[in-house]
Amino acid sequence: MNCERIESLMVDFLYGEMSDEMSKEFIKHLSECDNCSRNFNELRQVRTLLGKIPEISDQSLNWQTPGENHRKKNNHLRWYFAAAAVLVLTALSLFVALNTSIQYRQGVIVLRFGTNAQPVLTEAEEKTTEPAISSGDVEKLIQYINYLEEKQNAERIIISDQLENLASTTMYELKKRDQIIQLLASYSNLNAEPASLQER
Amino acid sequence: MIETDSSLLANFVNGNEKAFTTLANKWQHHILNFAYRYLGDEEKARDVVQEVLLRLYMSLKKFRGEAKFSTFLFRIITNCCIDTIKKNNHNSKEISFEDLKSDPDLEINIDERTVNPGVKNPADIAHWNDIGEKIRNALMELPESQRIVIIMKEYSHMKFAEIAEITETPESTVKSRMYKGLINLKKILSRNGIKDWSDIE
Ligand SMILES: [Zn+2]
Repeated sequence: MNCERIESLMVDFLYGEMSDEMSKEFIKHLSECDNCSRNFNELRQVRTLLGKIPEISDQSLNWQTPGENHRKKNNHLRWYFAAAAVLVLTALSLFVALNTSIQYRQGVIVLRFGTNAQPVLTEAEEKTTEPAISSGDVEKLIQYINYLEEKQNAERIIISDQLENLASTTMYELKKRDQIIQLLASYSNLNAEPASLQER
Repeated sequence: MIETDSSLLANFVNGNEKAFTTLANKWQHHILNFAYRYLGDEEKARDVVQEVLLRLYMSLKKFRGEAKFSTFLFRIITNCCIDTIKKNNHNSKEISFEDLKSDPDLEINIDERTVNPGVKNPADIAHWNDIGEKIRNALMELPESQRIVIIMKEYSHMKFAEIAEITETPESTVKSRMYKGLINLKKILSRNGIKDWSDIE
């Protein structure tokens, strides 16, 4: 093996990912070549140093599943989330037809309507604050869902894995009542909500 | 009884929420310290842990076992770290998972480069008494593509083949980044005050 070949194999040997046979050749070259031997030694020294980076403690981290959070806190909220799930799924299926995109980017849901549309909903902030939901709000959501279902002639919505996943993400992020309402509002603007629903 | 990742996964997919909590508790220390090495910022690393676990929770029900769990997990970790860098780095060159894949020779000439701001200011020099801090800071000066490979190898003890799979890069590229990264670290450390290398073994 020449020096170039040895260089390309250095990390293999350094991390023990080399066959015994090749290792023998490698070691043989190092014993005969000062340059490669020096280079390899440097790599070993850097490796030693890399092991000295201090670890930080994970003690203050406390994972709670989104489901656990919500169930424990509020029964109303459970209903609300169930309603929101149906809403989101229904809306999603229509959004797809309307050339609308939904992106999830690190704690942020971005909805785009039509081709030139601006994001309607930009940030899901205050993740820790739970919204106060009135029964009226839930009622309004359910009415709206019913309306959407009627409009679709009660066509069953196929919930793909992907939609299900997106919906649960959305549910978790869209904790705030205002944002759900805003989602509703922006959707209804597009779809000429019937007057009867607005009056109710 | 020590529960393996795969048994926890199976329990979680079958509806046992507690299995996920166990999985999260098992991995959060590693995720945190991985992100800490990658991002060089403790607070951001903590945020990344939450984000990784959330994404994992949301996506695990879809996990069909076609990839190893660790491969799946480290893809999420890498993506979350990249997102964090992007979010905090609006003005500089954006990086992406694509960059990690398609930028085989992203190499900087360490010797000619200007000093990385934020690393050599007086306030930071105080921390530099500690050799661990020195190497951690040096790591932050490397190009992302070299840093990630070094962390996956040195901290997570992955095989080169697995790193290649996670970063969607040929194995030969992974190895050459590893080599260049180590050489660059040596240069940075020599420049930043480690003179006597004979002590280090
Ligand atoms: Zn040689």
